[in-house]
Amino acid sequence: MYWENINNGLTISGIGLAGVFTVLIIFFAITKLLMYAANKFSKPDKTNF
Amino acid sequence: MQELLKGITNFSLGNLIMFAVAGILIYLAISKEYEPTLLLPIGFGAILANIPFSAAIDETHGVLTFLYNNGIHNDLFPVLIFIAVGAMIDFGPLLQNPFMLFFGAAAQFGIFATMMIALLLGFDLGAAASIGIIGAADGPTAIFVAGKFIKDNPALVGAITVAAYSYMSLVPIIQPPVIKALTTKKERLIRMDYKQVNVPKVVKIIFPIAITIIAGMVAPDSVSLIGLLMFGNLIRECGVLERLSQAAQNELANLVTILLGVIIGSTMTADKFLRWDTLAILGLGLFAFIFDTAGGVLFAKFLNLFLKNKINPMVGAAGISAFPMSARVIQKMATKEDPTNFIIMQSISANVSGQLGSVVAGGMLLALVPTFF
Repeated sequence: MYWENINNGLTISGIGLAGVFTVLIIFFAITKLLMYAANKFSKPDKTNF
Repeated sequence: MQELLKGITNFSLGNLIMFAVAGILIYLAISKEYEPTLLLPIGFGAILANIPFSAAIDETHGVLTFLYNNGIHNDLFPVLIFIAVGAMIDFGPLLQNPFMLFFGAAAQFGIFATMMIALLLGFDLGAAASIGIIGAADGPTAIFVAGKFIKDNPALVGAITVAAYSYMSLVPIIQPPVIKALTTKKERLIRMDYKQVNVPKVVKIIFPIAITIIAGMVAPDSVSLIGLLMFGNLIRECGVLERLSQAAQNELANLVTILLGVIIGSTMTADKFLRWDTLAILGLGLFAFIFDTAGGVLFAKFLNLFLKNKINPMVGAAGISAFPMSARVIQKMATKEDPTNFIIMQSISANVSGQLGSVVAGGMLLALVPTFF
C-alpha cells in the first residue's frame, strides 16, 4: 500500500504539474490572442492601463 | 452541583495546551498582524471548541457543528470567498505581461514536492494532497481541497488552514534566504525592461469567461473553484455592477471570513489536533513554501539559458499566490542589491499569475487524486 501510494503520488505529481503548465500555456495563448484581436479591432481605451 | 462543575472537572492538559495555541494565534494576529482576519477568529474558535462540553460544537445542535457541516463540508464558504477574491483581483498586470504566467505554473512545484514528502512520511494520498496544497499559498484553495479529501478528522483541515495562513504572512521571512541561496549577486542585479501596454476593457471582460471555460473543460472538478473566482472577477470588470463588486469585495468577504475562521478554529479540539500529524503538517507547510520559491527561481534560471533578454530570477519566486506580499519582497530585495533596479511590475505580474496557477493546481489535484484514492 505504501509503495503503491508513492507510485500514485509520483504519477499525480507528474501529470498535475504538466497539467498546470499546459493550462497556463493555453491561458498564455488565449491572452495573446485576445490582446492582439482587441488592439487590432477596437479603439484603444486610454483610461484602462 | 456536579453539573456546574463538569466543565472544570473535565478540563484536561490537552485543553490547556489548545488554549495556549489559541492564545499564540490571537497574539500573532493582534501584535504581529499576521493575517489577523483569519488567525484571530481561528484562535477564538479553538477556545470555543476546547471548553469541555462546549455547546458550540455539540454533535446534534452545536451552532459551529451546524456551520461546519453546512459551510465547509459542502464547500459553500470557500466558494463564496472565491467570489470575493475574484472581485479583488486585477488581472491587468498579467494581461500586460502574459509571459509571467509561466512563473505562476513553476511556483506550484512546492505543492507536488510536498505531497511526495507527505506520502513518504506515511500520509494517505488524500491527506498528502491536502498538505501539499498549503504550497498554493492560497487559504481558500487550501480549505477547499483539504475539505474534499480529509473527511475523518476535520482538525487536520484546521491545521492545514493555520499553516497556509501563517506561512503566507511569513513570506517576507521565508523567501529571501531561499532566493539568496539559489541566485548569484550578478543574477539579482539583472534589469528587466518594462513596456506599458494598453489593456482594452473587452479583454478584461472576455478573460475570466475564457479562463472558466478552458479550465473547466480540462478539469471539470475545478469549476466551482475557478468558475466562481472568475465570476467575481467578471463582476469587477464588467463595469455595470459596481455595487455588487463592492459588496463582494467588502461585505461578502468580511462576513464569510468571520465565520470561516471561527468554524475552522472550532475543529481544533485537543483530542484531534494534538497529534504528531498536526506537527508534521506545520513542518511540511514550511517545506511547501520553500519548494515553491525554489521552483520559481530555478525555472527563471532555466529560461535564462535560452532567452536573449534575461529575466531576474527573483521574479520567479513571486509566482506564488501570496499577493501582493511576494512581489513586494522581491522588489525590496532588488532595491537592496541596486537601489535603481525596479522589477515591481514584472513581480506583480508573476504574483497575479500565481493566484491563477494556485487555483489551477488545486483543480488538478481535485481531478487527479480521486482517480487513485
